[in-house]
Amino acid sequence: MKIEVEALSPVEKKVTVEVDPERVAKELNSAYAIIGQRVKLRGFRTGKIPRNVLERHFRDEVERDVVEKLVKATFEDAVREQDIKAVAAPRVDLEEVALQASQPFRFTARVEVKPKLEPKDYKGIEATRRPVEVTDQMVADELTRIQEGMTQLVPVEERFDAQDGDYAVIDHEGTIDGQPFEGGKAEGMTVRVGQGELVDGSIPQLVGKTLGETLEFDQAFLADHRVESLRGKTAHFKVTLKGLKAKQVPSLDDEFAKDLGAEGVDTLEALRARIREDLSKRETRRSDIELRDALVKAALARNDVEVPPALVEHAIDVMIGGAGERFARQGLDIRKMGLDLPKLRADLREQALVQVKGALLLEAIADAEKLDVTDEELEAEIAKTATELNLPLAKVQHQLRGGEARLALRNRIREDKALAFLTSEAKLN
Amino acid sequence: MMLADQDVVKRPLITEKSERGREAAQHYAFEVHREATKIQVKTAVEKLFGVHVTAIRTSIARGKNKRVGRNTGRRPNWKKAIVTLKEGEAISLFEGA
Repeated sequence: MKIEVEALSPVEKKVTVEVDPERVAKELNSAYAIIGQRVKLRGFRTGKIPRNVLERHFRDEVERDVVEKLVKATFEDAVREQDIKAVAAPRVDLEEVALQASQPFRFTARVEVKPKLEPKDYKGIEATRRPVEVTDQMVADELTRIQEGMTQLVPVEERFDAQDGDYAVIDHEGTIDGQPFEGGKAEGMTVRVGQGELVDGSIPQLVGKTLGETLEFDQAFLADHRVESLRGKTAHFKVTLKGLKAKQVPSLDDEFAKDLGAEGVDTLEALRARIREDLSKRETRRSDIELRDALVKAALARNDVEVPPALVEHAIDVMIGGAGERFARQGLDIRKMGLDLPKLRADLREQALVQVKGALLLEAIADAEKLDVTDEELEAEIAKTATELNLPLAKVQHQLRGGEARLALRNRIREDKALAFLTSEAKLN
Repeated sequence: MMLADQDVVKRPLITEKSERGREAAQHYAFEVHREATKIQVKTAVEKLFGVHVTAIRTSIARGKNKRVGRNTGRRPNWKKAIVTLKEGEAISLFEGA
């Protein structure tokens, strides 16, 4: 087998492979032997068909198979022998389509490779780490959010008349020109009493009415109402007040903290501390990510990275796939959303390009600094993932058993290490 | 009986048995018209394939009894011709394409 490699560009290589005739003959023989055992032809018992008859009937098929097999096998060999890091399936040009047992078989393939990078100037990048600051105000805001989330509607018992700010349970029936319309009738709906419009769930007319009372009023629909047939029309509503509820906002005290049910939090002070801690963690992580992005960006500015187009396309695929999965979890089918896929791809391309460039550069830095991932580190990462996802360790290990998944994880850890290196070598302000 | 050459030679017989004869002794087997004579087969093969026939043997193969459900039937008898070609000649129809 002869292999010639020619670099077309830093990210593309042309590989010419010549396969020895003996190898071709061997593959052809075995292919015919296999097919001879399998096919049925009139006039012959299965397995007793002479080679020349087989050739007459199945030549095209067999040659296609053999060519495919030879290309696959020898290309893999060639890639291994020449240490070519292919990032996508090769595009193969066959020089001669006809396969002859006595002739060597030649083919050329163009393959995209990872560029050889000599990362430079990646030490001592100046960057600013955004200081992590958790103010009392942020804690208070978070607390208010939790408080609102805990707010409940409780029935009003001490009075029977609706007041501004109450919540009313009503039955209502709406008609337009005496005719009922779609969605105009409902029972047991909860609306706000007081300021606002019916469409927002508020009925100002209810103020002062007592339980069981029925009132009638006209209501014009807005010109941009979500039901098109109702826009701009005026409906007559008949509303019966069935019940009253009021918002009960829990007071901020130790009881409130206990009710949240978080472990180790049973006083308001402890809750505040916990919130502060969580916020600080979140902010730190965000600040870390910002810093890392800035560092990678700066490193990219100092290094010219040529990117194989296939990698970018793949990154876009992954992005779209990820988005599709997120939508699928919400019960949406991304394919039915009528997205303009070519445009979406074009929009994502810039982002994907930066991502791929960053990954390539980090890999090159890891190479240059001899950052390697040991098996122990890999296992530790798997264990960590299991804890984070709250899954049994054995299950995660099982899922990551395949060589490819492991390799991906290893690369991720390596990238993290390169990033950490970049950070530790950077001049932080 | 007048027969066009194409009507005399109906089809080549390519079977395990005929292939054996072809490889060993340049015997080529055909199904031919039931009423064709050896002479007619010989001239037809020579004309159609541009070869020289040195010998010819014919035989009548009996049609097999076949049944479909309770109906029995019989396939027609047919004539087989085995022609021997002059040394070094071949009929490409039988060879690998």
